[in-house]
Amino acid sequence: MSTRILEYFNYEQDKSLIHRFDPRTKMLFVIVLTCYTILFRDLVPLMLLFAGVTPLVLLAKFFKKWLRAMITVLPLVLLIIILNALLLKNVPSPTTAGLAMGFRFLILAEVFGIFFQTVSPDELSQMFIKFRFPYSLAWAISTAYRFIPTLTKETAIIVAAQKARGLQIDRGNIFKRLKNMIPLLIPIFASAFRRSWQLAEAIESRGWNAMKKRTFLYSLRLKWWDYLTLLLLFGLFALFLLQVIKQYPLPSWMLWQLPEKYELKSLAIAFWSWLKNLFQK
Amino acid sequence: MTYTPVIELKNVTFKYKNCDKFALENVNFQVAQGDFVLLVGYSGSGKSTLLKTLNGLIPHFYSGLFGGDVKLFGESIAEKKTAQLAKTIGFVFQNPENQLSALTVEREIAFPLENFAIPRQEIRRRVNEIIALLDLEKIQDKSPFAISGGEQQLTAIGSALALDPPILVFDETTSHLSPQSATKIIKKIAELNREQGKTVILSEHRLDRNLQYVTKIAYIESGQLKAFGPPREVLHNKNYPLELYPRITSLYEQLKKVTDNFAILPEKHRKQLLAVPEPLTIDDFLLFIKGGRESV
Amino acid sequence: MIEFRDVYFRYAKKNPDVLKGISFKITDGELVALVGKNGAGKTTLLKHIIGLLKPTKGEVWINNENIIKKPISELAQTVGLAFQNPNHQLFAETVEKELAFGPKNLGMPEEEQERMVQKIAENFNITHLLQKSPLELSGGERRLVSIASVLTMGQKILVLDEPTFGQDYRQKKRLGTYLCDLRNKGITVFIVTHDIDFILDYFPRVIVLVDGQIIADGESKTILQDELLIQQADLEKPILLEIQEKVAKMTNQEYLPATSEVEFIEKFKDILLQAASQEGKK
Repeated sequence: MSTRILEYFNYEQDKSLIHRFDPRTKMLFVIVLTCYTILFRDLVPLMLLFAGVTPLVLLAKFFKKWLRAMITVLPLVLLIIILNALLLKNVPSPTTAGLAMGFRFLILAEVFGIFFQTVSPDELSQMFIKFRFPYSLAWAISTAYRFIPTLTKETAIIVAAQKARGLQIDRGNIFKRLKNMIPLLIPIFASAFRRSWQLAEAIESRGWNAMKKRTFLYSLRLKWWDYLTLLLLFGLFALFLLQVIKQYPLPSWMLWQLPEKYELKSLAIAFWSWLKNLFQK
Repeated sequence: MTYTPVIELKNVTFKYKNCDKFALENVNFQVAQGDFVLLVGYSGSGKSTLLKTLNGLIPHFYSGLFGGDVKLFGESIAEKKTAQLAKTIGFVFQNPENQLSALTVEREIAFPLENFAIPRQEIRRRVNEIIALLDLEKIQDKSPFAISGGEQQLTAIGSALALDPPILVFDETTSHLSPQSATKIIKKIAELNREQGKTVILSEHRLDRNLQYVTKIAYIESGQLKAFGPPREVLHNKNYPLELYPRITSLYEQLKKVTDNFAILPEKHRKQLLAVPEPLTIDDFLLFIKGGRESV
Repeated sequence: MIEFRDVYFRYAKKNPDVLKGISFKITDGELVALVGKNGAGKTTLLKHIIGLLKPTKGEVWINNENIIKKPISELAQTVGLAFQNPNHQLFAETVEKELAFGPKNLGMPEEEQERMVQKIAENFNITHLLQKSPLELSGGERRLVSIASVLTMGQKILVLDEPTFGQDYRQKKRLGTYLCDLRNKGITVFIVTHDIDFILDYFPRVIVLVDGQIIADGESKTILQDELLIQQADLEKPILLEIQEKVAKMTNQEYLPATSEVEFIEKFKDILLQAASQEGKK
């Protein structure tokens, strides 16, 4: 399960429409959408948001992966809904609120998913540079990311090598097992350390931070479609701020709630009495 | 005009922290413009340590006791940072996987230029030049993690060349490669030496395929420079171990021994053979055999 | 004895086969070298011998037993495997403990452990390193220690991935001689290598793996003369042979190479004598 979720946030090299947007545009998109998701507490507007964001998943060409991830987290979403529906107090319809929570979770998952699916670690670091973060930080982020596959591969080799020397990892009680980890952990750390040391030497030898300022062969540049989208997003953000300050009441259709008889609690009670009846017969 | 060596080491001594033995002991030598120096020595003899003093990685990167002076083009590098020396000295390391970090091969080559704040158009031009020079067109947009070891080392060489440094240092650059790619890389290095006049220092285990390009051998043993000079001179130095002879030379020596210094041959013939310089490479050996056959 | 019977392997269902019908048999006391390009499947093949990977099709037999159901811990008693990069296995505080790690895992009695460590350390000339930390050693020394740390387990079958990597001539010679000694004791040694001179000097049999298939299996002297095979396996012609080939070409003689140094010297002694006598006739 955890690998699926990791995979979900893993950048996929593709040339989809969404990939072509500047990471800064996508960053603002994430911020604005997150604001709205937190702003709304009612089911209808959140469902609308969800319906609005889902096509972007298709545009970013990661529908399959998204679906798989959604199925994986479905139990969690159901748990959120049920717990809210059964335990929430002081709301007119706990089930509606629970469903709203579920959708909130899904929207956030989608929004962050789209971001990490379509922003490469390199773009991410370039974005940091544009935001005037120190270059070393940006470099460290993208480099660490690039070394993940190497480190995973290396760990597998280390496990294999020690097993071949007769190491039995899953033998004995917990202390014995922890002790068995030492022949794995030491080479893993030593290797990672050696790797970073050698890399440091190599980049130092090629003039790392030789000048206070540096130039870039490539850097991010906003395109017309970015400007357009940014404009739209800033507009939405302004609306959001306005709403936060003024607290306009939402139109009544947006405040729609589940009728009392469809409340999870009442459904559960009805089901329980039906079951009871069945057995009493 | 006085002669200034490209590289000059004066009494260079280094002892790693927590180590009781000296890794380098009073090393002195001078390398001239255009030299191709092969650094030879057993594993653990201090080859890497010596190379790392050339651009200040030692002592700046390693704690320990450092003594002596390293001069590049007559200037001491003691006060200089390794990063600043990148314009003078290009360094390529042993492990292809642990010296590359950029998104693509092209950007790996651009990296040193970016560090020195070279304008973008200029970076573009230089990167294209190097890609053409090292035939990297096919992989220029690939990740340095998705190419073969030989290609990775070529990328590292490209990156080291970016700032056009007059000196190139190779620390066992081919030892992780298959023999075919290793030979290719050595040929490339020799080309840089011959055609661009780069001064090259290279440490290697394989002698046979390299000696044809080499102008000087430096033999190091337990941190001491035991012999330095033109290949034949160094091989005849009593400090130089027979085990580190190039295979060809060692075959020749054996042949000389079983024929009792060619005494089994007629005198005229023998003189002729002894006059041929001792073979270091395959071509030398052919010359020797030819000499043996066509002596008149 | 190692036997592969039509072994196929792929890492995941969707992926292509890495091994495509591998069959070969190595009897006790043989020295065999596996050669091939990087990515041809050499390491994948090695991992099958100790059960780190299981064939998707076909069988692997070790000492007349199909190992499909055997756990690695049990196989480790018979097969020793050292991977290419020593940094992937060295971890102990001292070289001595490193060497004793394998035997300890196998449950070898302590006296026996000590004896093995001493013996191997002497054979490899690393006794002076025993009290050092493996992390302090140079690359070549580390490689040697990592191989030694497998040899101390005393298995009947030894599998080594690129054992000569980063080693100087002296270390290689010592290793080669030691492996030959093992062979004389009936131990099977199977290595992956690119070091063609090492093969010619010590390994009578070569298996050539190209793209997951064995394209040649036989006497190394013969195989290493085959230009095409050498090309396909990303190797280089052994110096010994290259010289003779060029000399043959130069002198318009038939290319009948000597494959050991001793023969080589004899051959060229004759060539020189011949040349001299021909001239004498003139």
